Amino acid sequence: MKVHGGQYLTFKLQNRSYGIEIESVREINRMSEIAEVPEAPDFVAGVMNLRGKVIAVVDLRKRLKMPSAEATKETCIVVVEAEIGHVGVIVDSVQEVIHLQSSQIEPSPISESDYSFVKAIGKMENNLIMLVDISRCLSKKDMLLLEVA
Amino acid sequence: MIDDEFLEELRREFLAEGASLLDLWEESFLKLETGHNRSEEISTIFRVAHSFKGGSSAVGYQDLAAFAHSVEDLLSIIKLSPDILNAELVSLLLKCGDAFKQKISFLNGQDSKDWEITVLAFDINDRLLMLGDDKETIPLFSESPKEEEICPGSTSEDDEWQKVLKETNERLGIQLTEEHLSLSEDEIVQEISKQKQTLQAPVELVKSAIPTPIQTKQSVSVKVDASKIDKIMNLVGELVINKSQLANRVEQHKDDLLLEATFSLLEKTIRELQDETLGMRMISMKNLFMKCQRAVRDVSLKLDKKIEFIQNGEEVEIDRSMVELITDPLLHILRNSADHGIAKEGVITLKAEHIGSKIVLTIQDNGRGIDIDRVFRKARENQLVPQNSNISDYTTNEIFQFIMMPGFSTAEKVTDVSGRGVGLDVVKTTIEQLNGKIEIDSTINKGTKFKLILPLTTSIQEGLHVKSHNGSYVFPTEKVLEILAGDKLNLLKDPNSLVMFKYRNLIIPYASLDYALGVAADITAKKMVLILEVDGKYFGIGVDEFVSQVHVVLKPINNIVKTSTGISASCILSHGGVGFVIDTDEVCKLVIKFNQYQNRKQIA
Repeated sequence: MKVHGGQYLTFKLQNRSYGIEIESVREINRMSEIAEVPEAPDFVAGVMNLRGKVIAVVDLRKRLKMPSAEATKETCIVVVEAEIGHVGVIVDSVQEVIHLQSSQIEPSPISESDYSFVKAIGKMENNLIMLVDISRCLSKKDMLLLEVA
Repeated sequence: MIDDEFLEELRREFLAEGASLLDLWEESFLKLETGHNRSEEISTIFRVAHSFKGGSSAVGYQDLAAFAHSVEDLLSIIKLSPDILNAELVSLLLKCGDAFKQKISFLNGQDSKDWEITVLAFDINDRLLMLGDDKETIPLFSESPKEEEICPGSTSEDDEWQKVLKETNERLGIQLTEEHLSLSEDEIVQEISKQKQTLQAPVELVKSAIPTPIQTKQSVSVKVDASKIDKIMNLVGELVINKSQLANRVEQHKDDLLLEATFSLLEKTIRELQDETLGMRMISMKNLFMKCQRAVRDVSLKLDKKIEFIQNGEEVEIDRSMVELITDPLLHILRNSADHGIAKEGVITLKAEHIGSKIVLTIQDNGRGIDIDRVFRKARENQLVPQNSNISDYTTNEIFQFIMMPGFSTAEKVTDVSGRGVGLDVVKTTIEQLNGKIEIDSTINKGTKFKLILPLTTSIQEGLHVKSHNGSYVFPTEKVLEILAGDKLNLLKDPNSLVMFKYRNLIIPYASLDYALGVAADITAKKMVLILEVDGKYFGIGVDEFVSQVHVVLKPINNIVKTSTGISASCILSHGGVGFVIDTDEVCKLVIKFNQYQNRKQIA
C-alpha cells in the first residue's frame, strides 16, 4: 500500500503511538456519554450526541483486538470522516500533529495480511508510529453487519 | 451576447418558474372539470402556455418552445370556442403538461429520461387539423421559432404605433389616441401637459386595464434546501438541551434576579424559535390533493366510470417529508376505490383533518363494499386465524386488516376482495413505518372507508423515557396503556416457560426490556411494568425506572450501526445523552418469540 508523507494526528493506545492522516480528522472531543446499542458489533461502543447529531462511536482498542480500558481524564473521542459519515473513535490520549516525509514512512511488514489495520510505520527519532488505516477500521461493511459469533 | 453564466442563471430561474407554472396549469384544468368559471380558467391556461413558450425560447430551449407553441395554437382555438373542450381534450392537454414536467425535471438533472413527445405532437397536430385551424402550424423542432412568433403582435407598422402609444400613455399617465398622432410635435406636447393637469386619473387606473402577469403565489417565498431546514432543526434541538442544562445552574442562583429574568427571556425566545422552525417543515396538502384528483380522474376516464371526487381539508398542514412518503399509499387506495369499489357511478371523498396530535386522512367511497364473511373465511383458509375461531371473536377493523396481508388475495382474482389485496400490504408497511396506522370499515353495497392515521411529523415523537439495564429508552406514548409498579405483580410461569401475569382479568405475557432486546440473559422482575397494546393484544414490559414524559426528535440510527430489531430510532434526551426509541410492535413480537424458551441463548 502506498502511503504518502504529510500531517498525521498521533495518539496513544496501550502506551504505543499510533497515527491517522489529519485529513480524515474532523474534531477531537473529551470523553462523553455513550449510549450502548443492543446487539451492535462488540467494537462499537455505542452512539453519542455530537451537537444534535447522533454518531456511532468505535472503541479503537477493541477494534484492534486489544483489551479495553476504563476511561480516564486523558481519554478522547476523535471524530473522523468515514464511509458512513462521522464516526467517533475512542483513544487513550491524543498526542500531537506531526509531519512525516515520505522517506520517514515504511510499509508495514505485515500489511499484506488481510487482518492488519496498520498500513505503514512512521519513523520519528526514538519513536515508531503505527499508521492506522482508519477507513478500513470503520468500513461500512463491518459497521452495519452484526458480527456472527 | 449573453455570457454563459448569466444564461445559466436565467435557465435556472426559468426551470423553477416553469415548475410552478405547470402546477398552476394542472390545477386550472382540474378546476375546469369541476365546473368553475370556465372562461377564466381557460385564459389562465392559455396565459401559462404563452409564458411557458416565451420563457423557454428566451433561454434557448427551442424544442420546448416549439412544442409549447403548438399547444398554444390548440389552446387558442379552444379559447375562441370553449365548448369543444371535452374530457378527451383535457386528457391530451394534461398529458402535455406531464411532458413539460418530464422535460423540466430532465433539464434540472433530476430525471435521466428525456421526454418522448412524438405521439403527443402527432395528436396535437391531428386536433389542429380536425378543428379547422387555418393557421399554418409550425413544424416541431424547427431550428428556432421566428422572431414574430416569440413576440406576437409586432407585425405591422400600425401595430407598432399602437404599441408606442400605449407605452407612452402608461408611462406618462395620460390618454392619447390615434387622432393625436396627426398633430404636430408642439401640439402634442401641449396636449400632454393639458392632460397631465386635468387628468387626475392615477397611473393605477391605466395599470388596472393592463392584464396583470400571472402570479403563481401571492405570498413572497424563498426556496430553501430541505437539508438546511433539517440542520436548523438539529441546532434548535441542541439549543433546547443546552437551555435545560443551563436551567439547572440558574436554579442554584435564585437570588440573582437579573439572571433569572434574562433566562426566562431566553427560554421564551427559544420556545418561539422552536415553534417557527417546526412550522417551516410543514406544508399544506394542496399539491398532494391535486395529484389525488388527477389520479381519480384518469382512472374514471380509463374505466369509463362516472366518479365524483370530493375533497376536504387540503389546507391541513403536514410535515414536508411525510408528503412524499404518503403519496403512493394514498394514490393506491384511491385507485383501488375507483377501480374496485365504484361499480359504474359513485362518489369518492378524500378528507384530511387534525385530530389531537394526529393527521387523519379518510378515503371513502360509496361503492360495492367488501364482504366481511368472505374475508374471514379466507383468513381462516390462510390460517391467519385459528380454525375454530368465530367471526364474532374479532372486531370489524381486525378482520379487514387481513386484506392488507401480503398475498392475501392471490387465489381468486375475480372477486372484489382479491382485487383489493394487491399491493395493500405495501401500503400498510409504508404507513406503519411512519408510525401510523390504517383502519378499514366497509359495508356491502354501502361502500368502503380507509382511515390513515398519521403522526404530525416523522421527526418528533411523544414518549415515555425509561431506564433499563443502564440505558435510556423511549416508548411511544400512544402505545403505552398504563404503567404499573412491578413489585405488586405476581409473575407466573406456565409449563411452556411462558412468563405471564394477571392484568385486570386477563393473563398477559411478560418480559423485561433488557431481555427482549438481548442485553440480559434472563427474564427478571422489574420495578416498573409498562402495559403495551399491539393489534388488540396486551403485553407487559419490565423496566428499571420511569424517568419522565418527553418530546424527542427522532434520528435514524440504522444507517450508523445495525441495531437490534426492537429499536426504531435514536433520539437526544434532555440531559444531552442518546436514548433509543422502542419499536413496540417488534418488541412484543420478540417477547412472544423468546418467551417460549427459558433462555434465549438457546435459539441464538
